[in-house]
Amino acid sequence: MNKMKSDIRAEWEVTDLGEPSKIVGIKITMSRDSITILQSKYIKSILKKEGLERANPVAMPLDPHTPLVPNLEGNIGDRSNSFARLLGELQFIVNATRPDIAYAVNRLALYTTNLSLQHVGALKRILQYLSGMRNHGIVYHALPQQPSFFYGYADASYRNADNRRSISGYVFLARNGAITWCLQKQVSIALLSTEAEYVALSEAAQEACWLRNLYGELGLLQEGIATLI
Amino acid sequence: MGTWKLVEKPAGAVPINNKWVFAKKRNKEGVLTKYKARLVAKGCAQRLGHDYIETHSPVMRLETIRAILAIAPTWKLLIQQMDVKGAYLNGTLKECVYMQQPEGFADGTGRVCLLIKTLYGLKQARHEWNIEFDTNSGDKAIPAYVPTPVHISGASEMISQSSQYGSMTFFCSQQRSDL
Repeated sequence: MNKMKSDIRAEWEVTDLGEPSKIVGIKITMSRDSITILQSKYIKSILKKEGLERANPVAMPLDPHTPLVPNLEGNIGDRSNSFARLLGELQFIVNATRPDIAYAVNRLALYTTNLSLQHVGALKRILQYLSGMRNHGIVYHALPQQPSFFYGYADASYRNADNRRSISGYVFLARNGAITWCLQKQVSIALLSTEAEYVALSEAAQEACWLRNLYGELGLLQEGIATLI
Repeated sequence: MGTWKLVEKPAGAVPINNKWVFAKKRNKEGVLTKYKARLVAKGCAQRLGHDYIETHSPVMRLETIRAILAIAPTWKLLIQQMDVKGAYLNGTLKECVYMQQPEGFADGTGRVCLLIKTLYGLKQARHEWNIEFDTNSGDKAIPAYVPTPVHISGASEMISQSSQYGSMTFFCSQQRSDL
Protein backbone atom coordinates (compact mmCIF):
# COMPACT_ATOMS: atom_id res chain seq x y z
CA MET A 1 0.00 0.00 0.00
CA ASN A 2 2.77 2.45 0.87
CA LYS A 3 4.66 1.62 -2.29
CA MET A 4 1.53 2.14 -4.30
CA LYS A 5 1.07 5.54 -2.70
CA SER A 6 4.63 6.61 -3.36
CA ASP A 7 4.28 5.51 -6.98
CA ILE A 8 1.26 7.74 -7.32
CA ARG A 9 3.10 10.55 -5.57
CA ALA A 10 5.95 10.21 -8.03
CA GLU A 11 3.54 10.69 -10.90
CA TRP A 12 1.45 13.63 -9.67
CA GLU A 13 1.31 16.12 -6.86
CA VAL A 14 -1.17 14.66 -4.39
CA THR A 15 -2.62 15.28 -0.96
CA ASP A 16 -2.81 12.11 1.08
CA LEU A 17 -6.07 12.13 3.00
CA GLY A 18 -5.48 8.80 4.69
CA GLU A 19 -8.60 6.91 5.67
CA PRO A 20 -11.53 8.67 4.07
CA SER A 21 -13.86 10.56 6.39
CA LYS A 22 -16.05 12.02 3.68
CA ILE A 23 -16.95 11.14 0.11
CA VAL A 24 -19.15 13.58 -1.82
CA GLY A 25 -20.52 14.91 1.46
CA ILE A 26 -21.33 11.50 2.90
CA LYS A 27 -19.70 11.00 6.27
CA ILE A 28 -17.85 7.73 6.71
CA THR A 29 -17.02 6.41 10.15
CA MET A 30 -14.71 3.43 10.28
CA SER A 31 -14.12 1.21 13.21
CA ARG A 32 -12.43 -2.16 13.50
CA ASP A 33 -15.53 -4.16 12.72
CA SER A 34 -17.93 -1.79 11.04
CA ILE A 35 -18.30 1.10 8.62
CA THR A 36 -21.09 3.63 8.99
CA ILE A 37 -22.22 6.07 6.33
CA LEU A 38 -24.52 8.97 7.13
CA GLN A 39 -25.49 12.43 5.95
CA SER A 40 -26.62 14.14 9.13
CA LYS A 41 -24.79 17.33 8.23
CA TYR A 42 -26.45 17.68 4.85
CA ILE A 43 -29.86 16.89 6.34
CA LYS A 44 -29.28 19.47 9.04
CA SER A 45 -28.35 22.12 6.50
CA ILE A 46 -31.54 21.47 4.54
CA LEU A 47 -33.66 21.62 7.71
CA LYS A 48 -31.97 24.86 8.67
CA LYS A 49 -32.59 26.38 5.27
CA GLU A 50 -36.28 25.47 5.48
CA GLY A 51 -36.56 26.73 9.06
CA LEU A 52 -37.46 23.28 10.34
CA GLU A 53 -34.42 22.63 12.47
CA ARG A 54 -36.51 22.00 15.54
CA ALA A 55 -39.48 20.41 13.80
CA ASN A 56 -41.54 17.84 15.70
CA PRO A 57 -40.50 14.43 14.43
CA VAL A 58 -43.09 12.16 12.85
CA ALA A 59 -42.89 8.38 12.59
CA MET A 60 -43.75 8.06 8.90
CA PRO A 61 -42.49 10.17 5.99
CA LEU A 62 -45.84 10.04 4.17
CA ASP A 63 -49.30 10.24 5.72
CA PRO A 64 -51.07 7.00 4.72
CA HIS A 65 -54.55 8.50 5.22
CA THR A 66 -54.28 11.44 2.82
CA PRO A 67 -54.41 10.49 -0.86
CA LEU A 68 -52.27 12.76 -3.01
CA VAL A 69 -54.11 14.27 -5.96
CA PRO A 70 -52.82 16.45 -8.78
CA ASN A 71 -53.85 20.08 -8.76
CA LEU A 72 -55.46 20.50 -12.18
CA GLU A 73 -55.25 24.31 -12.12
CA GLY A 74 -51.58 24.22 -11.11
CA ASN A 75 -48.64 25.69 -12.96
CA ILE A 76 -48.64 23.01 -15.66
CA GLY A 77 -45.34 22.51 -17.39
CA ASP A 78 -43.13 24.49 -15.08
CA ARG A 79 -40.70 22.47 -13.05
CA SER A 80 -38.49 25.30 -11.85
CA ASN A 81 -40.00 25.86 -8.45
CA SER A 82 -38.68 25.62 -4.93
CA PHE A 83 -40.68 22.42 -4.39
CA ALA A 84 -38.82 20.67 -7.19
CA ARG A 85 -35.49 22.02 -5.99
CA LEU A 86 -36.04 20.73 -2.46
CA LEU A 87 -37.23 17.40 -3.84
CA GLY A 88 -34.01 17.15 -5.80
CA GLU A 89 -32.00 17.65 -2.63
CA LEU A 90 -34.03 14.93 -0.92
CA GLN A 91 -33.51 12.67 -3.93
CA PHE A 92 -29.76 12.97 -3.42
CA ILE A 93 -30.19 11.90 0.20
CA VAL A 94 -32.29 8.96 -1.00
CA ASN A 95 -29.62 7.93 -3.50
CA ALA A 96 -26.79 8.28 -1.04
CA THR A 97 -27.84 6.90 2.33
CA ARG A 98 -31.60 6.87 2.88
CA PRO A 99 -33.76 4.29 1.10
CA ASP A 100 -36.39 4.77 3.81
CA ILE A 101 -37.72 7.99 2.29
CA ALA A 102 -37.42 6.78 -1.30
CA TYR A 103 -41.12 6.02 -1.67
CA ALA A 104 -42.28 9.33 -0.18
CA VAL A 105 -39.91 11.35 -2.37
CA ASN A 106 -40.85 9.33 -5.44
CA ARG A 107 -44.57 9.89 -4.87
CA LEU A 108 -44.19 13.63 -4.40
CA ALA A 109 -42.03 13.89 -7.50
CA LEU A 110 -45.15 13.15 -9.58
CA TYR A 111 -46.58 16.53 -8.65
CA THR A 112 -43.78 18.97 -9.45
CA THR A 113 -45.77 20.46 -12.33
CA ASN A 114 -49.18 20.51 -10.67
CA LEU A 115 -48.57 21.54 -7.12
CA SER A 116 -51.05 22.34 -4.46
CA LEU A 117 -50.69 23.18 -0.79
CA GLN A 118 -51.24 19.49 -0.03
CA HIS A 119 -47.94 18.50 -1.66
CA VAL A 120 -45.97 21.23 0.02
CA GLY A 121 -47.40 19.98 3.32
CA ALA A 122 -46.41 16.42 2.47
CA LEU A 123 -42.90 17.56 1.66
CA LYS A 124 -42.67 19.32 5.02
CA ARG A 125 -43.72 16.03 6.58
CA ILE A 126 -40.75 14.23 5.02
CA LEU A 127 -38.53 16.92 6.51
CA GLN A 128 -40.18 16.40 9.90
CA TYR A 129 -39.50 12.69 9.59
CA LEU A 130 -35.88 13.38 8.66
CA SER A 131 -35.58 15.76 11.57
CA GLY A 132 -36.24 12.92 13.97
CA MET A 133 -34.11 10.42 12.05
CA ARG A 134 -31.26 12.68 10.95
CA ASN A 135 -28.57 10.64 12.66
CA HIS A 136 -29.59 7.39 11.05
CA GLY A 137 -27.39 5.96 8.36
CA ILE A 138 -26.24 2.60 7.07
CA VAL A 139 -23.89 0.33 9.00
CA TYR A 140 -21.87 -2.45 7.39
CA HIS A 141 -20.60 -5.03 9.86
CA ALA A 142 -17.72 -7.43 9.79
CA LEU A 143 -19.40 -10.84 9.65
CA PRO A 144 -18.03 -14.31 9.10
CA GLN A 145 -16.96 -14.75 5.50
CA GLN A 146 -19.41 -16.89 3.62
CA PRO A 147 -19.90 -17.76 -0.03
CA SER A 148 -23.25 -16.05 -0.29
CA PHE A 149 -22.91 -12.61 1.20
CA PHE A 150 -25.38 -10.41 -0.60
CA TYR A 151 -29.05 -10.85 -1.17
CA GLY A 152 -31.96 -8.75 -2.32
CA TYR A 153 -35.65 -8.10 -2.18
CA ALA A 154 -37.91 -6.97 -4.98
CA ASP A 155 -41.52 -5.96 -4.92
CA ALA A 156 -44.05 -4.07 -6.98
CA SER A 157 -47.06 -2.04 -6.09
CA TYR A 158 -49.71 -2.51 -8.77
CA ARG A 159 -51.20 0.66 -10.29
CA ASN A 160 -50.03 2.74 -7.40
CA ALA A 161 -48.85 5.69 -9.43
CA ASP A 162 -50.93 7.88 -11.69
CA ASN A 163 -51.51 6.89 -15.29
CA ARG A 164 -52.26 3.28 -14.29
CA ARG A 165 -48.63 2.53 -13.92
CA SER A 166 -47.14 0.37 -11.20
CA ILE A 167 -44.19 1.14 -8.98
CA SER A 168 -41.36 -1.30 -8.63
CA GLY A 169 -38.60 -1.36 -6.12
CA TYR A 170 -35.72 -3.46 -4.99
CA VAL A 171 -33.04 -3.40 -2.35
CA PHE A 172 -29.84 -5.41 -2.02
CA LEU A 173 -28.13 -5.99 1.28
CA ALA A 174 -24.64 -7.10 2.16
CA ARG A 175 -23.15 -7.44 5.61
CA ASN A 176 -26.37 -6.21 7.31
CA GLY A 177 -26.48 -2.98 5.36
CA ALA A 178 -28.25 -1.90 2.20
CA ILE A 179 -25.86 -1.45 -0.71
CA THR A 180 -28.09 -0.67 -3.67
CA TRP A 181 -31.73 0.19 -3.97
CA CYS A 182 -34.11 1.63 -6.48
CA LEU A 183 -37.70 2.77 -6.49
CA GLN A 184 -39.25 3.69 -9.80
CA LYS A 185 -42.50 4.09 -11.61
CA GLN A 186 -42.52 1.31 -14.19
CA VAL A 187 -42.12 2.40 -17.79
CA SER A 188 -44.87 0.22 -19.20
CA ILE A 189 -48.38 -0.45 -18.01
CA ALA A 190 -48.74 -3.84 -16.33
CA LEU A 191 -52.12 -5.49 -16.79
CA LEU A 192 -51.82 -7.80 -13.82
CA SER A 193 -50.25 -7.43 -10.43
CA THR A 194 -48.21 -10.55 -11.28
CA GLU A 195 -46.92 -8.81 -14.38
CA ALA A 196 -45.90 -5.80 -12.29
CA GLU A 197 -44.08 -8.13 -9.91
CA TYR A 198 -42.23 -9.73 -12.82
CA VAL A 199 -41.11 -6.33 -14.06
CA ALA A 200 -39.75 -5.51 -10.59
CA LEU A 201 -38.03 -8.88 -10.39
CA SER A 202 -36.41 -8.37 -13.76
CA GLU A 203 -35.01 -5.02 -12.72
CA ALA A 204 -33.69 -6.53 -9.50
CA ALA A 205 -32.13 -9.41 -11.44
CA GLN A 206 -30.26 -6.93 -13.64
CA GLU A 207 -28.88 -5.24 -10.55
CA ALA A 208 -27.94 -8.61 -9.10
CA CYS A 209 -25.96 -9.44 -12.25
CA TRP A 210 -24.15 -6.12 -12.02
CA LEU A 211 -23.32 -6.66 -8.35
CA ARG A 212 -22.13 -10.16 -9.07
CA ASN A 213 -19.84 -8.90 -11.82
CA LEU A 214 -18.51 -6.15 -9.58
CA TYR A 215 -17.74 -8.50 -6.72
CA GLY A 216 -16.40 -11.02 -9.19
CA GLU A 217 -13.86 -8.44 -10.39
CA LEU A 218 -12.84 -7.97 -6.78
CA GLY A 219 -12.32 -11.67 -6.43
CA LEU A 220 -15.40 -12.36 -4.35
CA LEU A 221 -17.39 -14.82 -6.37
CA GLN A 222 -20.84 -15.46 -5.05
CA GLU A 223 -22.47 -18.76 -5.82
CA GLY A 224 -26.21 -18.69 -6.11
CA ILE A 225 -28.26 -15.71 -5.10
CA ALA A 226 -31.52 -15.37 -3.28
CA THR A 227 -33.87 -12.72 -4.52
CA LEU A 228 -37.03 -12.74 -2.48
CA ILE A 229 -40.38 -11.16 -2.95
CA MET B 1 5.07 24.99 -16.16
CA GLY B 2 4.37 24.16 -19.78
CA THR B 3 0.67 24.71 -19.56
CA TRP B 4 0.68 26.89 -22.67
CA LYS B 5 3.02 28.80 -24.93
CA LEU B 6 2.60 32.26 -26.33
CA VAL B 7 2.29 32.42 -30.10
CA GLU B 8 1.21 34.92 -32.72
CA LYS B 9 -2.45 34.43 -33.49
CA PRO B 10 -2.73 32.41 -36.71
CA ALA B 11 -5.20 33.69 -39.28
CA GLY B 12 -8.58 32.08 -38.82
CA ALA B 13 -7.95 30.89 -35.28
CA VAL B 14 -10.71 31.65 -32.79
CA PRO B 15 -9.12 32.04 -29.37
CA ILE B 16 -11.45 31.27 -26.49
CA ASN B 17 -11.76 33.49 -23.48
CA ASN B 18 -10.84 32.74 -19.89
CA LYS B 19 -11.77 33.84 -16.45
CA TRP B 20 -10.21 33.97 -13.00
CA VAL B 21 -12.14 32.15 -10.31
CA PHE B 22 -11.37 33.26 -6.79
CA ALA B 23 -12.23 31.42 -3.61
CA LYS B 24 -11.74 32.18 0.04
CA LYS B 25 -10.82 29.22 2.20
CA ARG B 26 -11.87 29.27 5.83
CA ASN B 27 -10.95 26.90 8.60
CA LYS B 28 -13.39 25.36 11.07
CA GLU B 29 -13.68 28.58 13.10
CA GLY B 30 -14.52 30.54 9.98
CA VAL B 31 -11.22 32.40 9.93
CA LEU B 32 -9.81 33.13 6.50
CA THR B 33 -6.83 30.89 5.95
CA LYS B 34 -6.03 31.37 2.30
CA TYR B 35 -7.13 32.85 -0.96
CA LYS B 36 -7.24 30.62 -3.99
CA ALA B 37 -7.24 31.62 -7.60
CA ARG B 38 -7.84 29.38 -10.57
CA LEU B 39 -7.72 30.21 -14.24
CA VAL B 40 -10.50 28.56 -16.18
CA ALA B 41 -11.04 28.48 -19.91
CA LYS B 42 -14.50 29.26 -21.18
CA GLY B 43 -15.27 25.84 -22.55
CA CYS B 44 -18.71 26.98 -23.62
CA ALA B 45 -17.05 28.81 -26.52
CA GLN B 46 -15.44 25.64 -27.83
CA ARG B 47 -16.78 24.27 -31.09
CA LEU B 48 -17.26 20.56 -31.65
CA GLY B 49 -14.87 19.24 -34.28
CA HIS B 50 -12.60 22.30 -34.10
CA ASP B 51 -11.65 22.58 -30.45
CA TYR B 52 -12.79 19.29 -29.03
CA ILE B 53 -14.10 15.88 -30.09
CA GLU B 54 -14.32 13.38 -27.24
CA THR B 55 -15.40 14.49 -23.77
CA HIS B 56 -16.47 11.26 -22.11
CA SER B 57 -15.10 10.46 -18.68
CA PRO B 58 -16.35 7.76 -16.33
CA VAL B 59 -17.64 8.83 -12.94
CA MET B 60 -17.89 6.57 -9.94
CA ARG B 61 -21.37 5.40 -9.03
CA LEU B 62 -22.51 5.79 -5.43
CA GLU B 63 -23.63 2.15 -5.56
CA THR B 64 -20.08 1.04 -6.22
CA ILE B 65 -18.76 3.03 -3.27
CA ARG B 66 -21.33 1.42 -1.00
CA ALA B 67 -20.74 -2.05 -2.39
CA ILE B 68 -17.03 -1.74 -1.60
CA LEU B 69 -17.58 -0.14 1.80
CA ALA B 70 -19.97 -2.96 2.68
CA ILE B 71 -17.38 -5.69 2.20
CA ALA B 72 -14.43 -3.74 3.60
CA PRO B 73 -14.87 -4.65 7.31
CA THR B 74 -15.45 -8.35 6.65
CA TRP B 75 -12.56 -8.86 4.23
CA LYS B 76 -10.35 -6.43 6.13
CA LEU B 77 -9.70 -4.11 3.24
CA LEU B 78 -7.66 -0.98 3.64
CA ILE B 79 -9.34 2.11 2.29
CA GLN B 80 -7.29 5.17 1.54
CA GLN B 81 -8.18 8.45 -0.03
CA MET B 82 -5.89 10.70 -2.02
CA ASP B 83 -6.45 13.93 -3.81
CA VAL B 84 -4.48 15.00 -6.86
CA LYS B 85 -3.67 18.71 -6.88
CA GLY B 86 -4.82 20.52 -9.99
CA ALA B 87 -5.71 17.17 -11.46
CA TYR B 88 -6.92 18.37 -14.84
CA LEU B 89 -3.72 20.31 -15.47
CA ASN B 90 -1.98 16.95 -15.81
CA GLY B 91 -3.96 16.06 -18.89
CA THR B 92 -2.37 16.75 -22.27
CA LEU B 93 -4.46 18.48 -24.88
CA LYS B 94 -4.60 16.75 -28.25
CA GLU B 95 -6.52 19.42 -30.11
CA CYS B 96 -5.11 22.79 -31.11
CA VAL B 97 -6.85 25.31 -28.87
CA TYR B 98 -5.96 28.99 -28.63
CA MET B 99 -6.82 31.13 -25.63
CA GLN B 100 -6.60 34.86 -24.92
CA GLN B 101 -3.92 35.84 -22.44
CA PRO B 102 -5.21 35.87 -18.89
CA GLU B 103 -6.26 39.15 -17.35
CA GLY B 104 -3.49 40.78 -15.36
CA PHE B 105 -0.80 38.67 -17.02
CA ALA B 106 -1.06 39.82 -20.62
CA ASP B 107 2.21 41.03 -22.12
CA GLY B 108 0.46 43.55 -24.37
CA THR B 109 1.71 42.08 -27.64
CA GLY B 110 -1.64 40.66 -28.63
CA ARG B 111 -0.23 37.15 -28.80
CA VAL B 112 -2.44 34.26 -27.79
CA CYS B 113 -1.86 31.17 -25.68
CA LEU B 114 -1.57 27.87 -27.48
CA LEU B 115 -2.72 25.44 -24.81
CA ILE B 116 -0.63 22.36 -24.07
CA LYS B 117 -2.30 21.06 -20.93
CA THR B 118 -6.03 20.76 -20.38
CA LEU B 119 -7.07 23.83 -18.47
CA TYR B 120 -10.04 23.65 -16.13
CA GLY B 121 -13.17 24.52 -18.03
CA LEU B 122 -12.18 22.89 -21.30
CA LYS B 123 -14.71 20.37 -22.44
CA GLN B 124 -12.18 17.61 -22.96
CA ALA B 125 -10.32 18.22 -19.68
CA ARG B 126 -12.01 15.40 -17.78
CA HIS B 127 -11.52 13.01 -20.69
CA GLU B 128 -7.80 13.70 -21.02
CA TRP B 129 -7.25 13.51 -17.27
CA ASN B 130 -8.95 10.14 -17.19
CA ILE B 131 -6.61 8.89 -19.93
CA GLU B 132 -3.62 10.32 -18.06
CA PHE B 133 -4.66 8.70 -14.82
CA ASP B 134 -5.60 5.44 -16.46
CA THR B 135 -2.33 4.97 -18.36
CA ASN B 136 0.00 6.13 -15.62
CA SER B 137 -1.63 4.39 -12.70
CA GLY B 138 -2.92 1.32 -14.50
CA ASP B 139 0.43 0.30 -15.96
CA LYS B 140 2.56 1.00 -12.94
CA ALA B 141 0.75 0.99 -9.68
CA ILE B 142 -1.96 -1.58 -9.98
CA PRO B 143 -0.38 -4.76 -11.40
CA ALA B 144 2.47 -4.33 -8.97
CA TYR B 145 0.07 -4.45 -6.09
CA VAL B 146 -1.95 -7.53 -6.61
CA PRO B 147 -1.12 -9.07 -3.27
CA THR B 148 -0.66 -12.71 -2.52
CA PRO B 149 -4.10 -14.14 -2.11
CA VAL B 150 -4.84 -14.76 1.52
CA HIS B 151 -8.54 -15.39 1.64
CA ILE B 152 -9.61 -14.10 -1.71
CA SER B 153 -7.69 -13.77 -4.92
CA GLY B 154 -6.68 -10.47 -6.44
CA ALA B 155 -7.99 -8.30 -3.67
CA SER B 156 -6.49 -5.19 -5.08
CA GLU B 157 -8.74 -2.78 -6.79
CA MET B 158 -8.66 0.84 -7.61
CA ILE B 159 -11.62 2.89 -8.48
CA SER B 160 -11.28 6.39 -9.70
CA GLN B 161 -13.83 9.02 -9.25
CA SER B 162 -13.55 12.50 -10.55
CA SER B 163 -15.75 15.12 -9.09
CA GLN B 164 -17.12 18.17 -10.76
CA TYR B 165 -14.26 20.25 -9.48
CA GLY B 166 -11.75 17.93 -10.98
CA SER B 167 -10.17 16.97 -7.74
CA MET B 168 -9.62 13.30 -7.79
CA THR B 169 -10.38 10.90 -5.06
CA PHE B 170 -9.77 7.25 -5.26
CA PHE B 171 -9.99 4.16 -3.21
CA CYS B 172 -7.35 1.59 -3.13
CA SER B 173 -8.39 -1.46 -1.31
CA GLN B 174 -5.88 -4.07 -0.46
CA GLN B 175 -5.79 -7.04 1.82
CA ARG B 176 -4.72 -6.08 5.31
CA SER B 177 -2.51 -9.04 6.05
CA ASP B 178 -1.45 -8.05 9.55
CA LEU B 179 -4.94 -8.10 10.98
